[in-house]
Amino acid sequence: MAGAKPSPEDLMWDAIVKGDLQAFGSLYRMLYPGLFHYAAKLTARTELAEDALHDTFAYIWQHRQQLGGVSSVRFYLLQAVRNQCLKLLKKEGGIQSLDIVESQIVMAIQPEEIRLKEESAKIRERLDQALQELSPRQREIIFLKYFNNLDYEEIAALLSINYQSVLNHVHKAIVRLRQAEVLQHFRHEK
Amino acid sequence: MKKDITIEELLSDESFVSWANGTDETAAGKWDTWIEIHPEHQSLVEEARLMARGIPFHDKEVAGEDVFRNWNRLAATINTQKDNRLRRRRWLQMAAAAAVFLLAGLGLTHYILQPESLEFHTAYGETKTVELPDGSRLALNANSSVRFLADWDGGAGRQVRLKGEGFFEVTPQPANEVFVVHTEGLKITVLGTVFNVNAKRKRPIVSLAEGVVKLQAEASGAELLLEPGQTAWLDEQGRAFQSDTRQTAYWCSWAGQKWAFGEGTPLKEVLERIRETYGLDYEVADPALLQRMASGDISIESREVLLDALSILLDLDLEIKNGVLFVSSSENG
Repeated sequence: MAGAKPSPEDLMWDAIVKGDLQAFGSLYRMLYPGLFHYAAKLTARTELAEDALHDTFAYIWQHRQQLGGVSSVRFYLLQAVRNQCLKLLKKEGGIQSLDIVESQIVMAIQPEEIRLKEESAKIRERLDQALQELSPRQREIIFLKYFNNLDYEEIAALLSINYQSVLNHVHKAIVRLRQAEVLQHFRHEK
Repeated sequence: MKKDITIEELLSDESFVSWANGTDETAAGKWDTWIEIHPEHQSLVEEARLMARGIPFHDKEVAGEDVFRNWNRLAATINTQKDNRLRRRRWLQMAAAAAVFLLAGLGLTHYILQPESLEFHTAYGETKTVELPDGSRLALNANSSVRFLADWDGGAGRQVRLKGEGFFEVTPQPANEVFVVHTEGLKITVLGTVFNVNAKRKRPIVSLAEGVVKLQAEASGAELLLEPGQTAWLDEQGRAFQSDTRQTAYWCSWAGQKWAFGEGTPLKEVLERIRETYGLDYEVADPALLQRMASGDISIESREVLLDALSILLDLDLEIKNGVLFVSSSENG
């Protein structure tokens, strides 16, 4: 990220810190879908995911003057939303520690969320099976990597694990999907 | 290029990632050659290639109405945040932000209705419900008209021009569609809401039942964000806004086939209302009568029902002669 051209959301962030509510609205609109889908997977509940986004954005606006610069706005928000999801789950479930909450995350991924070259019930079924066999952590990592487009360093920072573990998780997940013979059916072009 | 290589190294090499994704022709040649020279790394390279290509998730959107609903909720929270001493100003900023958020690039400030427009009119004593192209509804009060384009998908967005009085129920739309009412000296930007506009008086009166509405004075550019329950109107010069929270129920009540006078509405206002609704001028025997207060609800099912109820409510004699309503106190009669 260092030296890269500032992204639109980074430019908006500077304006938000200075109190520009229009920029805040634009950023909200732009990042809402990516954040919402991640939160919905973490919590497995739409209302809880909406609450987490609401709390996060409300916090950001209220504390905008203290926030200062961030290296990547999208990463910062994913991190804030993840933390808020865990907090809400903890509170709602009356759970003792955040570690326990984290260990209960399911991160279900449906086979329909992935683009295939052609529709086939058989391939969907194999894909479903393989996705279910991945660990929740592997599912979260591949979702962050390939849906939210975070890089390996960011995922490592987000989940407080080391870079090599992230790489290993992605590697194992991909190998598992290859064994299930679904990779060759993925449609990569947009 | 060195012989020993790890997946990590491959994935952090930009040219490798481009090659894996087939996005770079020059990289292709380089890596094809490299694999030929190092067949022992074939499986490692293949795995790294699959990781770089990754998993093609569908782009997922969120329904516009969900974003809209949650943005409104966030806007409400922000407005109550305690760190701000200038709450009024924040609402104005919020209005601008919400409008920009909804406009999303339409970039229209002034818009002149094109020829292919629809127009609806009502006569005195008549009301009409008009279904707008986006499914929003407008109850048109007596002696009023509304004009709008038949097709709202043409890029100009949702715009209507109102003369007289209308009660709007605006359906929220995917977040980039704003709804604008143009009327006498006033532009009303709507963010999915229920409100009444009366543009029959010297200055238009806007009452908000639900949701969020932004008012903009054409003469001065002054803006006001209305909160639910608020009624606002322009001053004599049409430049600044004044507002009040006591009359909103009254202004919105006609759409429910009644007039709700609430705690008390002076007869003068009731007679003005009768004049604009039924086209009846009035004459009072004694100007002091104009200060009598009507309270409670009164049915406006028909002019006769209304006048009967009013005469009982305020102890008046009401008589129509030559299109003029003569008002006197019953005690005198």
